[in-house]
Amino acid sequence: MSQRIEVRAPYDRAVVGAVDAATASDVERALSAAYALFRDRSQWLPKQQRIAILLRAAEIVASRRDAIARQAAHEGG
Amino acid sequence: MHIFAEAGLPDGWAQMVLPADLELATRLVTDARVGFLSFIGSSKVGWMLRSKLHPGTRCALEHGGAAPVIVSHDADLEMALPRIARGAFFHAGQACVSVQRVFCHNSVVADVATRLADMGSQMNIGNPLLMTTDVGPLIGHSEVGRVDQWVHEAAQQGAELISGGRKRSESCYENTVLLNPPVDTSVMRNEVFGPVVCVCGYDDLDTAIAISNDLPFSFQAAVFTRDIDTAMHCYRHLDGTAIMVNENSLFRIDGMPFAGARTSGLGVGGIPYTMQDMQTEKMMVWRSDALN
Repeated sequence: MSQRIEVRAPYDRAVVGAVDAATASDVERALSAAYALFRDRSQWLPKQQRIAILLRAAEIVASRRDAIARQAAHEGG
Repeated sequence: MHIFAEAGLPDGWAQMVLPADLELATRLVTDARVGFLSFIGSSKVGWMLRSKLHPGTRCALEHGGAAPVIVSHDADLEMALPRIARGAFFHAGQACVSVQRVFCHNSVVADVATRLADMGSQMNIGNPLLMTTDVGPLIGHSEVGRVDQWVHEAAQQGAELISGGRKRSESCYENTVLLNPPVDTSVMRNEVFGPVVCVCGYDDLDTAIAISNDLPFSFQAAVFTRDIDTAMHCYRHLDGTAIMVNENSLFRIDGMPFAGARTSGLGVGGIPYTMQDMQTEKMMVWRSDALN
């Protein structure tokens, strides 16, 4: 059972949200998954696909610009 | 992470892992499977992690500094002061290249100190969610206490408190201008990471540069002058990875090289530079009779 990390707004300590803290097995799982992908070239994403993903991600960020800015200001001060 | 998934990135290609303590975080980054560590944070943690990286793991570090600004006797103060004020107080001085030490020729130092103090005092400090707020809180309540302690240490050691010097709330600190803090005070030797600017008078530019350079940091610096030779002299002699002329040290755009040197960092950030840093070149050599 992992602990929760409470994220509080620097301005007034209001709870912004909570996230799961990673355990040692989460760390191992993440490293193992990333390394396995890295080592298996057949799984590597072709350049065009990576470009498409980044462009799409940029579009999504742009469409949620205000909400993201607000969230960042709330969380970061 | 959600946005990347929505954009079509398959599982495993970008993962978020939040260790609750430094010990587990250290185990993560020092694992043999890690090819590259990109770290933004304190110099203390950054260099510690680098010292423990597994053989073969490369890294980029981005820490902070106590960014110096030179204001020459011939600076255009109308242009310079709003820029210096923004550089000092925006984000409550919590950027790696926030203006922290302003070395002014003695003919303009009093004017600079007073006017910076006025500009700082007029900024709205408070809730970062309001569009009317200019300067938000510090990242934690304990930082407010630390900044306050450093300010008062400087005042006790002879600095003149021109403005600020107190908490606005549990989380916010007033924009503070200190005039001529002694060089061995915390505000002059360490990264303040708060809305505090030290204004120091000089007669001789090279003496100011020597004082400025007497810290282990090297990041962005600035000089305000109308004289090309003064600008070039500062570029040459002031420690820094970038010298801004007639702009504050906080200036940054995505495509430019952005780097700390000495204890301030390792490697060069900025889009093309980071891509370069993270890659390793792989050469192929062809030998063939057909190529003779």
